[in-house]
Amino acid sequence: MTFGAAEDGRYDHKLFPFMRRQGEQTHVTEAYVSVPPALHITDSEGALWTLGFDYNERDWTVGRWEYDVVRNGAKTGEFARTIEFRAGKVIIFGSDGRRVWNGRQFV
Amino acid sequence: MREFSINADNVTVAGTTTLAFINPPAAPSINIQILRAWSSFSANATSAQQRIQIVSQVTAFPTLTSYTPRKKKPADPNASVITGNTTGAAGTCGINASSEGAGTKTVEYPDVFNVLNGWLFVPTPPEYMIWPAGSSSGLGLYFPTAPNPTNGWTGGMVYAEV
Repeated sequence: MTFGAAEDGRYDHKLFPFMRRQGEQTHVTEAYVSVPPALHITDSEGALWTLGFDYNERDWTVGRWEYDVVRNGAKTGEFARTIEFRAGKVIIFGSDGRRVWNGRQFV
Repeated sequence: MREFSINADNVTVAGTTTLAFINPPAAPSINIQILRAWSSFSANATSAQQRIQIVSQVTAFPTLTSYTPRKKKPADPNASVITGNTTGAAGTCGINASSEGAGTKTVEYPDVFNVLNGWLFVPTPPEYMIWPAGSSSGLGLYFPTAPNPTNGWTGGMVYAEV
């Protein structure tokens, strides 16, 4: 069961408008901004990144849950504890370690 | 576990405002567990800092815009025990207060964020706030300082009935 997302992995933007670009905000996020505590990151391609509501419990024994990584309101298939924007790259951190977005997937 | 959300979407706030408020029902009933809270802004692209707090508030509660909680699991056949109402009374919720009410607010979680980045509160399981049925207070997502501008605000909370 997904949590707030449809079967195709897209979240309802009417329910969660912060998962898409809003209004006049066309900036690129500053370096070293991290989600959380920030709500979202806008990268140099204009894509908006945030954490979704689906989670896994791989690290639950140490009190750390991972949430799905969402790009422009759609699940990427990855889970992470944090998303960080650094040196123009989107980086996620989780139980699989540090992974970097290469424009198509996290490696 | 059954989860629901309360969402204020692109609202204009009155100033120092409770953006979302939820009050557990009278006992015996379900308890309210806050899973997530967030806020973001879309009126312009100007960098600015904004204070935000998760607060508890006893009666008199804020005067709100009624909001019916949205299911997070579409297959769930049941609606939330919490219902939309303007009064903030026990067992109800609402958004975007027009009046804050005279009840004392107690700061449970204070923070500050840059409006361009938004704010996300995701507690780890040991940090969950669980407000019990029969509690004398409700939980609010509150701007303790007036945002500038006051339009273009989005925010909400996800809660579980436990």
